[in-house]
Amino acid sequence: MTNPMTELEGTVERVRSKLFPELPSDLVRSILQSESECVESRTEAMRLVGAAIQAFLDSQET
Amino acid sequence: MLFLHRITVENFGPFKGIQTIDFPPEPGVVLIYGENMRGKTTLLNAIRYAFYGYVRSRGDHEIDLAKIGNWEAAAEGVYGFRVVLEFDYKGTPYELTRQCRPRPGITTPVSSLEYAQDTLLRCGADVLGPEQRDRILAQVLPEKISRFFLFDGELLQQYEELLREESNMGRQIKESIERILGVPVLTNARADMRELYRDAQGQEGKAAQRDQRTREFGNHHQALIDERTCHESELLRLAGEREALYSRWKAIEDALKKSERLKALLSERDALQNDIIVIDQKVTEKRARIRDLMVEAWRWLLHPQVHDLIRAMEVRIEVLRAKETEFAVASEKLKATDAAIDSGSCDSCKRPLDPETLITFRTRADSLRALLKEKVPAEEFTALLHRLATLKEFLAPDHTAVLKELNLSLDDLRVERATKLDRIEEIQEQTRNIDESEIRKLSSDHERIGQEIAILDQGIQGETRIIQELTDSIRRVQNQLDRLGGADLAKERRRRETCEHLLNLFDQAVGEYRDRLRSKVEEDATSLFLRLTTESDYLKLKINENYGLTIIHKDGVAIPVRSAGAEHIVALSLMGALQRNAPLRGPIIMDSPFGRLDQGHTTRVVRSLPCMADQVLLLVYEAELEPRLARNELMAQLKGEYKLVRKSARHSVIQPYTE
Repeated sequence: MTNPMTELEGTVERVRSKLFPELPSDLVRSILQSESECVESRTEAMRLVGAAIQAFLDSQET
Repeated sequence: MLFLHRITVENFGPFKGIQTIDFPPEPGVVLIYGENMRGKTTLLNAIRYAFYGYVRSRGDHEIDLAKIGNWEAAAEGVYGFRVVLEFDYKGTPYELTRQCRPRPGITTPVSSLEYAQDTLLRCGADVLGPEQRDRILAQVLPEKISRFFLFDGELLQQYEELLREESNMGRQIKESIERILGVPVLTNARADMRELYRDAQGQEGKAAQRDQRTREFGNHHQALIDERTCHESELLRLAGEREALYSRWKAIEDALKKSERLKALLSERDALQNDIIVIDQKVTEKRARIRDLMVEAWRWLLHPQVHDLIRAMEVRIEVLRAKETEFAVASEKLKATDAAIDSGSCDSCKRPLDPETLITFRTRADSLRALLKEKVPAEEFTALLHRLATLKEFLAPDHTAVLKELNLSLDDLRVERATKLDRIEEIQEQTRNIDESEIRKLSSDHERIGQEIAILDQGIQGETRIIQELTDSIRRVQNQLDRLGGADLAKERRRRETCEHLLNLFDQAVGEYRDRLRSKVEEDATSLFLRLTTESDYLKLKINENYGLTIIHKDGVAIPVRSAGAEHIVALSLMGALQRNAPLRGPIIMDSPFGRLDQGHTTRVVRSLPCMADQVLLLVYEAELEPRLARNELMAQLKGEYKLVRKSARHSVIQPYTE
């Protein structure tokens, strides 16, 4: 059996590398991880995703 | 990945005292045999209770907690019940305890309000706090997808709804399928990114407002964003209203479809009632016509006598006319005879009359005079002519044939009316207990709500167009800001661009993932289906947009209607395919799933169970699945066998199965 979460991540990664290579794969994976863990808790998911993007932007500045 | 290790029930349903089932740690199948009313469904419910805190009946109604405790224990004064589940989730061991006990001070609880519930989740030696407990439980086996893990035969029948376009239940099942397949991970990411992108746009506008060089554009940008926010709120309101209306409309439509036959009967009855009104009108018209004709009908009875009279009168008139002619001729003859006597010569040849001829002439003149003495009765003649005219007027046209025709047609109408009335009676019998006004109300509500939805759609279209125009305007202002701007603005622009790219990434990925999933689910379901079905002419399963599966015959034609057994096989194939492709995985617990399957299919399903999930728990009765057959088919994959043994009607015991 394939690992379905890898299947989902794989699909997103294919789209990212093809259409949005400027987006770091770590950031995308981190967002997917947060969304996956907080499907039933939307506010928490949004907070985690926002924090991940902020961390990425901060890392760009330094 | 969820894996069950042990379930302990205490005074739960028929399970009196503390009873336990251990599940072996290796993947495989565990069988629990039990005849009807021994507690198979209760065991399924115990697992459901542990995870969600409620129990459902077969009709899908929530059962009052006060009715769940063991009756014999309650009779002994022990109220309440408890379920403990020990499981691994993502490799971490947990122990979940949910118990229901009488509230303090209540000795004999009678309703759920008199019970208190405790839920405890241990991770190793630690008891998790409520927030952490709820977060983990929501991940372990989300309630929305429980139908793929805990189910019975009835639930398997519902998957046919996926083949019905616009079915409410089908839509709910589709949502559950996408949930188990992880689609919400992407759709939620997309929704979050849309929101964060909007925020970033706002932040960019505010940064522009703070800078002297870009303030004007910043103000304009902010005004456009504010305006768009207003329209988005309105769009959201309209969309929410539409969704609520659409749900009602769909529910009414489903109800109307169910009552379609009834509606057809009622329409037929209405048409029959209208026909009867038309028949009654025709009967009234025909009766009026008959009445009119009958006013003259008495004359028709006298027609023979009147005809005789007329004939006699006409004879008499002929006689009188002949006499009149005879008189005229005699009068002319007398004139000529008298002239000849007077002149003594023949009026024609002018020869003198001899005495003998003269005598003859005088004799003829006398006889003519005698004849002319009898006068023609002129008064009688006139009277006869007058009476004849009156009698002929009296003879009105004879409408006997028309009357006969009318009466026949009345008879036909009477028969037609009686037949229709009989059918109305029949329909009324069939619809005796139906609230007809309710159906009529449903129809009018359906039409009214449909019109309201159409109006909302126009509003939604208008708002969407305005939002698009505002978005384009915002984009143009952003382009101008991009050319200006300082460090602050550049930072916000990077945020906005990152969010926008992420939004577009997830938007694209949602479509691709869905397409990929559908194709994989179709492929895996087909593979499982071909293992499960005994029908060698079936080629594959074809998936639709809703994940509904249609059987395709080897000649390429879809099988339009399928039996309950085939429905089970297709549903089990879908279950297996979903398990293979789901990020969320867990045990499959099936309650009496073979009731509608013949032995051939049962054998194949049992053989394929290990392919459907790592852990399968089957609750069956022996006639449904013979233990020997299960052992032969499962062999090493059979990891445990239990039996629910009767102690009394209200007390079952869980025991390891022995022949």
